[in-house]
Amino acid sequence: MSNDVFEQVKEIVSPYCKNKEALESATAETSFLEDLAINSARLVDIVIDFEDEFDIEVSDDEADKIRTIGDAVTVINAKS
Amino acid sequence: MKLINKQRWPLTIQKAIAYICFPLLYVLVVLWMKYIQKYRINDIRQVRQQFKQIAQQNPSGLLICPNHLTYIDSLLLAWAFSSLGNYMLHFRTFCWNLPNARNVQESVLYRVICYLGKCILIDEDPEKAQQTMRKAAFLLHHGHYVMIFPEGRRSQSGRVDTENYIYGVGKLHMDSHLDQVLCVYLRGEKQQAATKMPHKGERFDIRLQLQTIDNEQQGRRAMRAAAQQIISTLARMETDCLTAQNHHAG
Repeated sequence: MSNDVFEQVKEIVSPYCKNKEALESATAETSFLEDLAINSARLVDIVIDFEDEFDIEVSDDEADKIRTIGDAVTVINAKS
Repeated sequence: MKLINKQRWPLTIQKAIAYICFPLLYVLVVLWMKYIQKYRINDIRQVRQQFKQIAQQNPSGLLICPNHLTYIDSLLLAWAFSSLGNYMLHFRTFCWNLPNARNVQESVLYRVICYLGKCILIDEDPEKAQQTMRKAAFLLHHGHYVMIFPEGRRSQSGRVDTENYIYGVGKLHMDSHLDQVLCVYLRGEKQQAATKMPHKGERFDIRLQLQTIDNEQQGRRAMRAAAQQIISTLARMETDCLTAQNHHAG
């Protein structure tokens, strides 16, 4: 897993994250909804931010599968 | 927008049963609101006239997006929008509602009322929730009226929540292929914040505004843009309503 991408994902997610402590100690298994307490509606914003930041397009099916930081990194790495 | 027979038929049956039971349900609910809770809708005739005109201008389906402050907002709006006779003549204008399954699944009575009140429950499970949204889009596409609260939950602050709203309403609008949505602002004069029920004897102001959604974007960006436009309209309607209420009170 690319550390750079991992750190960028954390940075993108940060404004939407209600549990900042969990974000500090986040791993690939850290879940957006349960661990970081991100509102499910904001996942759409996060995926749009991924698209803008990494200049990629994420399909609806791919977006639906993004549940953890690791999932996001996998999708981004596959498309970058 | 297509739906497999297995999903389409239950909706047709639900609509037929709801139609048969509707007079009793409508009368009971309105009697309860009017004579037991002593609720009043300000200028109800004008509201109904406006709703009727909107219905006549929109022979296709209509997505109705109200703000959300109490559990019975959809009942109050059903009462405000039309008389029993008009609903019986144009049953498609009696809105399908999309309540959260979690709120009603514990009580058989609630589930029966929801079924008869043309509700399709939204499950927590994302796949089941998507199925419900597909059904709602199908209904809109086939000339029905569907009501969805764009804020996704009752606003705890008592004001339209312009930060934490859902984008599902935008997706539903896109899937329906309709140009306009009907934004509805409902507020009791004594309502300060979200409550389960309005205050007894409450008087409600209702404002309706057809909103054309301008959207040149695609996919989830279009979905977000549509939801943003609907929420912005509701926030503007709220400002107008509160200004008028304060002016009236002062």
